[in-house]
Amino acid sequence: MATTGDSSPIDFKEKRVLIVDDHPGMRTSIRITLSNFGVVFSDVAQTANDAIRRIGNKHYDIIICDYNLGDAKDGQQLLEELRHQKLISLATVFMMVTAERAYEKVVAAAELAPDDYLIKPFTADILRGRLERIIRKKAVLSPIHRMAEQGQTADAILLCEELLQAKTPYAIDVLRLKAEIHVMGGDFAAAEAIYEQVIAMRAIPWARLGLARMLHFQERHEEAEVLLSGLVEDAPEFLSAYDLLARVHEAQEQGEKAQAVLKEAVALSPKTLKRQKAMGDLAYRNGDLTSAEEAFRTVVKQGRYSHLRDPGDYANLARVCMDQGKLGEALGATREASQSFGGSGKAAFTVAVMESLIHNKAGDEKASMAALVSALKARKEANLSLSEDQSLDLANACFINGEDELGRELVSHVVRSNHDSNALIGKARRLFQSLGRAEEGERLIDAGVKDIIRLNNEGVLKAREGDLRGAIKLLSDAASQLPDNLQIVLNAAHALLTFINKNGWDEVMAEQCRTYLGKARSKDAAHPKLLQLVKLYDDAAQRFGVSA
Amino acid sequence: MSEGDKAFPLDVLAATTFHEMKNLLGQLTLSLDQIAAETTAETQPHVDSARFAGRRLNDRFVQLLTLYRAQEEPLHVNADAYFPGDLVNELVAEATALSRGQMAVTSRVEVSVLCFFDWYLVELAMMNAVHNALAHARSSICIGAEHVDGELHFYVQDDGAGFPEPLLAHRKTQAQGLNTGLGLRFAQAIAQAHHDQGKRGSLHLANGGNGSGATFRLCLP
Repeated sequence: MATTGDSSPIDFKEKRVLIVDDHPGMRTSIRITLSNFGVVFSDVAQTANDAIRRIGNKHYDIIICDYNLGDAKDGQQLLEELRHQKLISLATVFMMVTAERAYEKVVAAAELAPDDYLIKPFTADILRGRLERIIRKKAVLSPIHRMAEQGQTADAILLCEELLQAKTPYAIDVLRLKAEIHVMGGDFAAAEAIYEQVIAMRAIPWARLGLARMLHFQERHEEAEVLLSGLVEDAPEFLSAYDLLARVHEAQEQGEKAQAVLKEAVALSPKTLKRQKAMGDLAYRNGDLTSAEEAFRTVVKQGRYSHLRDPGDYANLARVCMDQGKLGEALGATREASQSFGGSGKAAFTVAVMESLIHNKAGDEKASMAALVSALKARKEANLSLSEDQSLDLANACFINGEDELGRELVSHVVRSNHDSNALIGKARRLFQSLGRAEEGERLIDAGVKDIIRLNNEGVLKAREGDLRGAIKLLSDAASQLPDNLQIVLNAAHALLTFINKNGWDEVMAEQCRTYLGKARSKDAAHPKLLQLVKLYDDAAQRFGVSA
Repeated sequence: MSEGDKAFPLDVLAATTFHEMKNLLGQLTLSLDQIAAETTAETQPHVDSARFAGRRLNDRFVQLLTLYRAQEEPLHVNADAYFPGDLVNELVAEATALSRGQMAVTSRVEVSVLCFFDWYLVELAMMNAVHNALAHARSSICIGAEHVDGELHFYVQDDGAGFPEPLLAHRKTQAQGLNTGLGLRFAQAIAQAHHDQGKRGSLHLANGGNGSGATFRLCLP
């Protein structure tokens, strides 16, 4: 008889369990059932927030959670919050129980899946069997997760290979993990091969998505587009495919196609804030203010219950209202932000900047200036580092109040830090257009972009001509001036690695390189070039016998 | 779903009622399992019969809901890789728990590789088949999985009187099996919803002849 290998009984005496269910009878029934198979320690929670509070105070090994919790947050949202905020580790078992088969769709569409889910009603034996299976699987896979989390990608890959040889029942899970670790380690071709291997067995959606992502990373956008269009057709509920397809369209500079794809995804799952935000942003860039307003309004509305809410959401709504001349609504949005976040730090700054813009549009120059002054004060007091959107809004407020020098400085910094981002360059360009100073803006933007390109090219040329020290000096000077420009930072790291590979290990350079990679990681951990450089670094470390 | 702006949206009421019913059924199922573990020999048969009735009630409920939804949109298959043996083990555990030594429950698993199917849908169909077999068997049932001509088969055999002849004959003449009862229609829908490279699943019912049992067989591509 085929078995899944180890079937030794699991000792539930040691396990701490939390049951989250809004139905009191069900809570009690599950609790009694668990005590029948040895669980001594179990707590119950009635709502998602109740559960978060308990999880914050105590460690649980197993969470059994109903999908439908009756209040604003459902079980899936709870799971996402717990995982995103790292309130539970990957070792914690999260089992969803649901009275609805509709949850199948939710889970297929979700970015994060529970370890397993059970459809009510279920029997005691089935609950126990499922929990045991998850616990056994976690015991096998968790060393790989741990290594991957600690960045030991080479070791993690080796362990994956051992497990594949050992014919555990988790071959597909191991393959999937192995591919993900290859991606983390920048080896896109290896990950691509694994996804192809799985697809050859069966064209399951996650493998197709993984393959498309690898194509996208390798800038094979057309192949990715074909694959994703097919996937969206076959598995319309698989929302991650829409997100990736939208990014592929954007990479091909087809903003409207991207927006249409996101629109479909948003319609299927209106609750996902991140996507709504992306949708609003994209629509705004495409000049579709009606759609942008709708999306930003939803973000603000849904965000009231979310840990992801941000003053920037209100700024987005205020901006898009203002652009349409709806000044009252724009002001309403900023007022709501003040109420919601209080009047200090980032929120105070954001609100003041938007109010400065709105007052100016309404013809009240004095109020606009006053708001700008308090924005600058809030920025200084809280020592805020501004996002690109915040910088551009502040620059706008500066220009309309005659503070041209600061305005130009802000825009120039955004441009020089993001010279390869069409989206942000477009925003800067539109800012000047709205001020009726398009020509001046064009000159400023053009100068910034060209400056960076020239710098980059010079560095790359020096490296090519063999003047590696010169290249390193040039690029690392640029990187310290523009720490947010990913391309510069990564090229500086690249030059350092090239030097190390040619002349042997140099700990000072390696240290500098690690700093650059860390900086890039904090900006965009999935940046393909970053991942490739991480691999280059690991290879070099291995070659020179230094532990990575 | 609803027609216009009715003051009283029946579909919402139906949805919340179904939700409540499933919660209550879930509670009932777990409570009966609990009672069965504690009951005396004297009351055992009553409890067993209540548990069995609870399971059958649940089968029907889920089937009805699933087929009802399938009218509006096709049954969605969420296939992933599983060991057929794991599913068979789960079915055997269920059958053993329900039969309490009254019935011999055996299994035969002749597939040891990972296969791709929708665990939940196949489990629903097979669970119902196991319950049917337990209701009709004389003394034993056998649950198995095997590979036949590139297909994955799950089956349940019992040693009862077999499917009624008219049912088998009817199914042969009407490929869609329109009149073969909720459970079989459900299983058929699940089999057919599974597809791979143009091939679809199917449902096969057979009798051993001379009243020597029935075989329910779910064939998946």
